[in-house]
Amino acid sequence: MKTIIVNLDIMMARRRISLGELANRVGITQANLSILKNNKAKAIRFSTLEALCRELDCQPADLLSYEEEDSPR
Amino acid sequence: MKHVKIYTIISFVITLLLIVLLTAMVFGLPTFLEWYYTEYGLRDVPRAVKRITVPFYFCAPAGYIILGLLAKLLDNVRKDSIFTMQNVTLFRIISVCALYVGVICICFGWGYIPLTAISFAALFIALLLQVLICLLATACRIAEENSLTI
Repeated sequence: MKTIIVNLDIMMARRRISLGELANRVGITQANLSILKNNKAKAIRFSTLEALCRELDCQPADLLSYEEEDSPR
Repeated sequence: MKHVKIYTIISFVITLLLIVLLTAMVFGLPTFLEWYYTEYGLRDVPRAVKRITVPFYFCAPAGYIILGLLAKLLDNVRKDSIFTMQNVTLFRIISVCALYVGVICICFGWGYIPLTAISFAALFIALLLQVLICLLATACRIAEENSLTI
């Protein structure tokens, strides 16, 4: 089944930034960022997406994709 | 928020008192009824006592379950864990117990107004709880979505 996948781990690896550091910069807890990274989140606020794009210097499309749940990335 | 805590404590104390009252009734109801009917000079005491005590003893376990689960629910409210599926399950069991009490009272109290009134009250509570269960289940789903919105 197709679903929205958060590619936060890929962008974090590209920017070489840790979960804790990104959480600090974005202003959310590590636990919440971990939920987002592991695709457990049900929704994402525009403000969070905006902060992530700002800190990772990327577009929303770099963070989100619409694909098969178990497709290899 | 403070008044909610006070109400929770008061409700918990009342629940404990009801458990004590139910236990006292389990042990003392036949004696009390015999005294009551004899005192007021009613005839056919054993039949009247039987008519109330038999359904009471059938309903007593359900009463203990309901009161125990109410205490557990109030404990969950005290711990601020309100919108959880565990509470939905607790409400569902209480509703089934109320339905059981209603059915027992209808079966044993057919034509006997006090028991019929109790059975209708119990069935009404069971129905009310079913509506509450639907509401709580929806609230749980919304709360889960809310907590998983980052």
